[in-house]
Amino acid sequence: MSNLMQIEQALLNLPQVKQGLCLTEIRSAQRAETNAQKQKFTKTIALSKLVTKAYAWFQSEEGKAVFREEGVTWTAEDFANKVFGWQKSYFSKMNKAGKLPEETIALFNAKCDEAEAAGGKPNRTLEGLHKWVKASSQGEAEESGKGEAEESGEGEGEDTTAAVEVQVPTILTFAFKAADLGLGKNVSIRVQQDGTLVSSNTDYEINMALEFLKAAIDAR
Amino acid sequence: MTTFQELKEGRKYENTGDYDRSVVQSYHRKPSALKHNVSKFAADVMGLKPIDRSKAIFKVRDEFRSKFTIGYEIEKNSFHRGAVKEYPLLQGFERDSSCGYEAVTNILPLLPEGKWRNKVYEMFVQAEQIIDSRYSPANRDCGGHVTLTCEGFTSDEMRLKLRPYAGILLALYEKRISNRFCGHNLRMQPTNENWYNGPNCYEGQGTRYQFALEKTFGYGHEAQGALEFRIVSKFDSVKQCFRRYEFFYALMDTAFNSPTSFPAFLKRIRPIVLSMYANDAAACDLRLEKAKHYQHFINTGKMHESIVSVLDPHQNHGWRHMPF
Repeated sequence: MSNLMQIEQALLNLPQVKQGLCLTEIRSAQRAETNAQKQKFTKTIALSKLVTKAYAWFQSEEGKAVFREEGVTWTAEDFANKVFGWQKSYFSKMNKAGKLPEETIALFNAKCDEAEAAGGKPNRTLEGLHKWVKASSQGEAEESGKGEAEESGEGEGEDTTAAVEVQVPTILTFAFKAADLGLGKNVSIRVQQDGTLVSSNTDYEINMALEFLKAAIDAR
Repeated sequence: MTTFQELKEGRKYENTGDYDRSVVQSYHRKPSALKHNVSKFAADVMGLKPIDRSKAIFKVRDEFRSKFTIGYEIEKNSFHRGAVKEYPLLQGFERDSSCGYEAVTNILPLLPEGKWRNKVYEMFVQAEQIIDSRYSPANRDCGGHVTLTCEGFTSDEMRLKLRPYAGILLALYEKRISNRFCGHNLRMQPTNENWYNGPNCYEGQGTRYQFALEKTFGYGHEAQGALEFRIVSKFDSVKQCFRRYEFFYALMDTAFNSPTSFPAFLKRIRPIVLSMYANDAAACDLRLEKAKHYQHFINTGKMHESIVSVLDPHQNHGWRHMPF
């Protein structure tokens, strides 16, 4: 783990500590959980290929002829619901994933592996994949724009893909129902483990909430 | 109270529990037809292309109604044991002296492909043991009358609209032309109200046993004109119900929404006719070629040599006369 001091790492390496904390089993279970997520994603991708293939047949002349002959008319939404039991939005994500090249999937998995090796928890899901593909293509678009202005021949081998979305643990949350007191918009703050403050409120609103908190502490 | 499920899925066609719909009645004693051409739910018309919706659906207060309706009379020699029961599709069952028995559908919406039509087809599938001849046999005495309506049109107006395209029906059901229960007034001339003694009865207009019989349902301002094509042959399968439904929608849509030339109409229906003939292109095209001659006969009274033997009065029962 990357968040350990040297003295702490030494402590956790002691046999009796390892045994008492079940560290070996914990690590094994964590690996199993990660592997299970990887396997789930792999199976999702395999399913997405089938989804794409099935939908392509549904839209083909052969498929249309069969449906016509049997007297059944389906929209795309009907197809998603009646064949897979899915809502149209999830079906669209699966169908889109099924069309992605193998190299793209492999690169995404590699990025997720990198993030895991660095101690993070990547979003190795269908949604994570699409976000990464979108971000990467935007990054490539920006890079190619730059490249046109620069001399060619440079920039080969540069990684223009985006980083995968990594779930960062939250260490502090703060919520203030300012609206109930007529003091404006509600305030919601989250501080992540890496120190990043996440909030949609302005500095003024956050400071006002903190002043309210300080006043409550002082009144104790 | 309307449930979320109903809002999402639209109208459900279910049995009423009416005992009279589940037993064979004597002739013309079956219960009244249910109006399956009405839906309170937008879900039934969503998914239709806007142009199809405008051609096939209209709204009355908070109800969606189909512009066209269709009804089938399914004549059989007998019904499969245990099959006579209530079906959402059927108005009821009754005895018929010409063939044995008949099952009559409720008033069905006649629609382009879509969610609502899927439900109509589902009703055909549910009634398979009544429709399919493997379960409920039908011989040459049995027919398959099809009754059509168009909102706002009298039966005579319907006759005038459909007459320019009806030649296809004579071609498809050529073998039924000699049948005394449907082979009269093949040129769809105006119906004579004096059924038996009118001056035009020699053309067969003075009888109900016509190729296309004008009818009226209801009374006064609620009266609805209808045209019954009696020439349609017996029903043998559920898929046949589908193909005929599609054919009659194309016929009505062309006649009332998008009139066109007869050859253009034949081009439109060719895929349906091809499916009717199990993708036998030669058989399909033969029917379409004959349809042109039959249409010419309807329009002018003149007979092409390829259809003379069919229309020749000497091959029919002596009391029916046809001018050449």
